[in-house]
Amino acid sequence: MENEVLIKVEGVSKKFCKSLKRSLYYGLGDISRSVLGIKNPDKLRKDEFWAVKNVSFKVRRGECLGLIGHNGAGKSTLLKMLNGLIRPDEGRIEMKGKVGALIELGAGFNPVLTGRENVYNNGAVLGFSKAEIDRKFDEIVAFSELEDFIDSPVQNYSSGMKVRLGFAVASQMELDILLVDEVLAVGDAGFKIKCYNEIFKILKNSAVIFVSHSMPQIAKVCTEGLHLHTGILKKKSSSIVDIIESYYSVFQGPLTTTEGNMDAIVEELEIQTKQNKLILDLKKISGGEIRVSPKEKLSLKLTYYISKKVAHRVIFFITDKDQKLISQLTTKKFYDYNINNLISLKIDLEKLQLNAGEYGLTIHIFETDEKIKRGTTLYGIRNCLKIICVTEEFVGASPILYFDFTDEFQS
Amino acid sequence: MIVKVYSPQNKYSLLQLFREIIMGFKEGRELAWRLFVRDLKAGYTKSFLGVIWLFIPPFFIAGIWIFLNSQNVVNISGAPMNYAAFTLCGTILWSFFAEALNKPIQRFQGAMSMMSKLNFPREALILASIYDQLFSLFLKLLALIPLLWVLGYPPTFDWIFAFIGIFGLLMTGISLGLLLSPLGLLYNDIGKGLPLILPFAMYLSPVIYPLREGGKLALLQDYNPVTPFLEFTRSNLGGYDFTLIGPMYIWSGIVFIVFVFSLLAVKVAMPMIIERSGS
Repeated sequence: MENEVLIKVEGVSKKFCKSLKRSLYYGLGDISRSVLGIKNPDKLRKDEFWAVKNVSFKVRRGECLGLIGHNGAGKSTLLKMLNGLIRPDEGRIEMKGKVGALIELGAGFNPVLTGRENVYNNGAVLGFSKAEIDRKFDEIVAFSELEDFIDSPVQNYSSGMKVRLGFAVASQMELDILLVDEVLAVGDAGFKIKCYNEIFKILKNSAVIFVSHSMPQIAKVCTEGLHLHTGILKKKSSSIVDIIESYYSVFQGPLTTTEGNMDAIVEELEIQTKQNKLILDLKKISGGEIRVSPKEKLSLKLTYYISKKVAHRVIFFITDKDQKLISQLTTKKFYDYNINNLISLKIDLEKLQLNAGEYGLTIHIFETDEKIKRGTTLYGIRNCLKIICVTEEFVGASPILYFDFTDEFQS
Repeated sequence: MIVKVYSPQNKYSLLQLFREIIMGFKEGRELAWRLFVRDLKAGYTKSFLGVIWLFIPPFFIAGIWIFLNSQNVVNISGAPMNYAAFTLCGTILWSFFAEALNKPIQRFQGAMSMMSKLNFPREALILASIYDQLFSLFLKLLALIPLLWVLGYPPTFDWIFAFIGIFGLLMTGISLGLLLSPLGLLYNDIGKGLPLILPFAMYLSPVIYPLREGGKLALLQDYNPVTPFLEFTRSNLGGYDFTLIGPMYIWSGIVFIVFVFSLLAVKVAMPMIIERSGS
């Protein structure tokens, strides 16, 4: 039964109200009508909007659906509906089998009671019997690594410790469907890895829906992706790269900004790829865009001048869409110039080595000497160039690719 | 394999709802017990006087009325028992009813954040409210029995029947509490109003004075579901004649209907309440 559909969502919509006062008032009316068996209005009333509109998908056993979207896109609302906490206003949801949710770990923990007592209580809330918890108690405590504190009150736990205990309890359930909503953000690195391994284990024979803002996490865990944008299903695909692409496309690119004390001024940046040549006038602080392939040979020519005599280096950073630094190139020291005379720096990069995706280029010119390696920034410009890397081959999700290596198989 | 289908509220059949409620009670038994024990433990670990708090209010009220009556400030005559024993029974039973009425809203409110994050049988909370009340009853009897004995009312075989009345009070309180909870969870007005209305309602019920014949109070006590159950319990404890058999039957029927209706209302309303006021 590998391909059994466990989650079936058909045209599901949910409306919310922007004003709390009105929302409560509508609620009163809706409840009265429902109790008396009268149909509730389908149309949007004043201040109402569709938090989720006409979303359909299926998840089979063994599949993991990554749900992504910006804040307020309707992800949590959708999960709440899947979990049966709130009802859809339109459509139909079918959930087959035992459903577990790692949504807010440790909901229902009582701060005054000990970890041990809370394990039993939390287990009961999740649908365990006492005998089942007795059987799994040692496993749960071992997984959470909280042996020494299990008899202390939970109010003395740190937030990370609470998440550990909560995850340990929730992950011990034998589930058909697992809903995970960004719960792993709190734990430390070691525990996160442990949690992923656990999720992979669960994934083998269940259907998982995974919500996260961390694209590497999504790329790592999910077999399929779904991009929600303002409640509407924007893209659904089995290629996670496509989904991540779609997710980033709704964001406006990062703004080009300058920094530093402006002792140095960059005139222009010339970018030469195999087919294209692009000249950026950086005095205008506006960015440009190039399309490249992972093995692209790149030549950069930077022209600038400095208004004082100082030893300096130029550094080129490449950042990903989350503005995380991916790689950098630092030039040698340069001193041999005249004040306010144009300096031209030419860099040839044999292979760009970037994976498919969108990246940004940041340039810094900074002072340097024997003692201080990284001195005052004379000039900096962030995201002056958008690098779009495209590739036909599937190459995973790591940002940097190696090409110059030898590999040898033996048998 | 269990298949759960979630669709808009108005596509539900009554039969299906009842089935879900019964399943909820069945599946929620263990959870209800856990919640009850959890809150009992947590509630009294941070209190110096602990469970004594459950006895204080009724004894306080009874004490005041016994004192006032003995000083002839108010003159309440015609009690079919020793007046001290009579008011003591009355106030303790009334506080049992009032607590039962407040319990469901308190339980739901306390579990609101849990309900908005986890899917567990909501009926467990109703069951936990009943457990709370049974425990409170146990404590109240623990105090009431020796006191009645001292006042000249040793336990008799009739006391067993008193439990029928107590059960009536419990169900009346829980049912009314459940009926109010959808509204009470959306708006705070119910929570604010109850502490004002309940003491007032106590003085309009035959709690610290015996049943009236004629007059406006008599009319009010006829329309009061607490009257027959409280009187029935007290008459069995105090060994005097019970005169409201008819009303007790009628009110039992009404309370049962209200109970079933409230269960349905809560079941239907809860997802909407969570959506609108859950965090």
